[in-house]
Amino acid sequence: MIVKPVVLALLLASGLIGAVMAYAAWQGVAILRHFDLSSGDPRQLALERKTYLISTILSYVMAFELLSLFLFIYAGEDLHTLFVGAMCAVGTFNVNSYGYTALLLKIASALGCGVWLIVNHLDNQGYDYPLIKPKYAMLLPLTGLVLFEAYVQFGYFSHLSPNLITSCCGAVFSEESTGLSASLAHLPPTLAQILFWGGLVALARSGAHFLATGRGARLFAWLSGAMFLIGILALLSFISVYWYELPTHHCPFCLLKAEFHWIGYPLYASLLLLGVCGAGVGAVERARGIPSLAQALPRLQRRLCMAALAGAGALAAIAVWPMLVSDFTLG
Amino acid sequence: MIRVENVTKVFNPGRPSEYVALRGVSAAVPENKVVVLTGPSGSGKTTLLSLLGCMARPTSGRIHLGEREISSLPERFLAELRRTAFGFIFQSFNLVPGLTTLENVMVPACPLGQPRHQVRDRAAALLEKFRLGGKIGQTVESLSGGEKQRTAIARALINDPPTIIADEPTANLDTALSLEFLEIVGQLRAEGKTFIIASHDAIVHEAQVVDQVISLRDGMVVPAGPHDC
Amino acid sequence: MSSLERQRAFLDYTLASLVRRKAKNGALVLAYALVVFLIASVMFFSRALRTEGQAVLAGAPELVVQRMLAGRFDTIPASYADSIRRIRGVSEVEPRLWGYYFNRAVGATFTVLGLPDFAHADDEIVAGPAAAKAWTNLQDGRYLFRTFKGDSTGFKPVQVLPEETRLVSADLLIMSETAFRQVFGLPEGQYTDLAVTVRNPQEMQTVTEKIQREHPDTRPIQREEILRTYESVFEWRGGMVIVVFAGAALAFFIFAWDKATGLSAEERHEIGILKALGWDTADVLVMKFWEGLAISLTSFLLGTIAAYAHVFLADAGLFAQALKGWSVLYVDFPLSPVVSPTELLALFFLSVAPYTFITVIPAWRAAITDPDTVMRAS
Repeated sequence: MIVKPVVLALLLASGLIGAVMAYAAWQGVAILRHFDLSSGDPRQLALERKTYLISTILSYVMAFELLSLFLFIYAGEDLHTLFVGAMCAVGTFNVNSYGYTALLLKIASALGCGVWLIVNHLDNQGYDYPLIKPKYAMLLPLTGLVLFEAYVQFGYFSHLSPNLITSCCGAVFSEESTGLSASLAHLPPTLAQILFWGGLVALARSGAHFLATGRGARLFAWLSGAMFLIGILALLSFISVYWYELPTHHCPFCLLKAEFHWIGYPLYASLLLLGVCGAGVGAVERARGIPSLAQALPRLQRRLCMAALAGAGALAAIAVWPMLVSDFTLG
Repeated sequence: MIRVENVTKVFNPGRPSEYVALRGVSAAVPENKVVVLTGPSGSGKTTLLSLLGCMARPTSGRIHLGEREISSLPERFLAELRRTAFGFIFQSFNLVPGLTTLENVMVPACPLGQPRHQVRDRAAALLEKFRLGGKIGQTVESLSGGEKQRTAIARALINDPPTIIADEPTANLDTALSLEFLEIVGQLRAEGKTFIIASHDAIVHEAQVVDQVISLRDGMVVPAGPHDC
Repeated sequence: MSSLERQRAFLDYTLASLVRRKAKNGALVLAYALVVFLIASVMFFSRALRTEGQAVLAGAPELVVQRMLAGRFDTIPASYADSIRRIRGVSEVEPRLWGYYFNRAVGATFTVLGLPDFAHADDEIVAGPAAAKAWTNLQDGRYLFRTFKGDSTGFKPVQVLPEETRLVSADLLIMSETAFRQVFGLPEGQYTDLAVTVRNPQEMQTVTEKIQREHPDTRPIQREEILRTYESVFEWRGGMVIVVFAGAALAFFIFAWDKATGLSAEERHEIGILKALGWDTADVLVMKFWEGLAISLTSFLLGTIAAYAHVFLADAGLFAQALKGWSVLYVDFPLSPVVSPTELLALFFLSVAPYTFITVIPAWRAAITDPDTVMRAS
């Protein structure tokens, strides 16, 4: 265990997030069991009021999950000097098997909270709490995810001991390496490019179709989800390489540094926008046919779809920019 | 038109402190009229007023606002109705202490998300209309009773609601100021507003401007009085 | 954008409302800022020490070879240097002479370095800035040493090292090799340790292993290893102090909880008015969010700025002793200001996250005040 301020901060935050999420889930169960809009009971009124608390908690949790995702990456950067062979965050996360799992779980939690808040927003537009049951049913696995993330992060830090030998990003993402990250990074760039650009075209096509006809929301959501993953793949495989102008450098974190104009921030922001809003379009599709949402649903879906497309557009722009301005090419 | 049908309100049901404030009340408030609820204290007029004003939900019975049934709406829709359909004037004015007259008048407009300069201009115009133009930047503690009352009226009008609800508006005013208040009520009715006023003040019941009086006793409506039309 | 206008309207209301309760909110901000100040001071200070340490070690040899005798560090013969020099990949081996000298009269320990190519005479000495100040018992302008035999020998100070190198050189005294051997009685051909330079850093590990194999009685120490130990020691100390201060933080958060739950009748009445006038519970929660943010950010900024001033302008007067504490000579050196964004974000987490989550339930309790309370109260 390493007692460092940044580690303490992450553990404290995940402890607090876990505690309030567990509380929210507990209240959510009460809502699932006893919610009955037709009742004029004081308990019903109390439950309705609890929904305000839970949405507030979820918004805070999402904000802190997102911030802690970045703090976790910074912590990786900061701690790397403690480990033999680590030259940046990649090495730090590789010290034990919890590192990357925690990172991925953090991303998943933030995405999950985002989608939940979208469903919640839609539910608030209906005068008869139309989505209350699915919404709180969804809260339970989400809480499980957040608690599991807290556990894995704790596992990661408690299994860290200085002087462990690890590998740096050069080694993890290098040709010789055989790990999963290496194979992802060495997906032939042509294949990754085909997937990426092809995926974007398909997404744009499906988005246009949805905006024009209001149909195909689920397809658009699945494509957005796939595009989120392909985006990460493309980032490892060729986007990073073009930005670094180094055919061997695939690190996903160095992009967050000043040398690369902090391009990682808009890049990850557009990925998250694409992921959350795209998945949101599909998540609220189940509300179709509910009379009290007949007006709110299409409006919300259109907005989400446009936001997801904007994210995809920004992602494409970030990917294509270095190809246009530099004469670096992938051989 | 606001209608209540067979409305009951029970506080603390099932507890030793259980208290039935309204027992099967039915009443209607037509548009562009001044309706007064009257009755001794404990008769349920304040409770009825708060149900009409969407501040609470009835234990049973229905409330219709125009064509819409609102008695089982979720809280946020009731809040939305309170800020768009109603303006409120309270017995003790209930201005927010420490804030200026202008800020107080702007309070009900905060959740609407209108451009601030518009809200500010509207609030200033209302204060001007009620002869408070010179008091805009003063905190409300420095106002006299009549000025406080007029500030409260300006605040009730900021979102331009069709209906104004007033709870014992003259209780803290002397006769001259009470008459002034009723004069303002008359002006506003002429501009198309509906008024629901709870009061046991004789000045109010006997005023020319009142169209209808609903008397309550022990949570029930007492059969129609002389002012009924 | 109407949602932006809405947020702005709530923010305006919140700020106007905070200013009204100056005393209460002022006390809260001060207590909060104090907690931030304590934690931030520790963090800035240990980071500054760490940076100093790295600066020191940047000039240190990549690999030092010591000889061990019965598990203890002993002198190393010059012949070892010759055989190590023959290892492939080694570009240079420099035998070094250094040790500690305890000056009984001033009650302090000094680091003494003996250089074969000392630029001054054998009876002259160069002193570090702190050492020059501390060595107060000069005799006829000379530093008087007791040699290993028990007699005294004096050295004339010819130069004081510049301030910039303070952390390394503060307690340092430099003399010629001959003088060093004369003071400490170290036989010719014996050295304290060997500084080894390796041509290609990638071969460091191989070279280290080879040295270990050829001379099983030696202990090679890599600079990277020292850096890591250094880091963990500093960070560990900083972390422990934060754990100790967690007590103070806890006390504050209990105070905040109490303040948030113990909603005064006046505040409850005000929220009742807002609710009656058409604010939704969510609107009150938004207002409470802005309130919490205003308080947190003000306290965070105040605490951080105060900690910066404390550590870098006032030399961490409050707890420098506890954190530095390894030699009495290290007390006064100005720290170079280094603040990392990571630490600021960590500090933000340590202070703002607990406040946010602790106040969320009380804020909600306040927000669900019934709108008709204002009418029932009258």
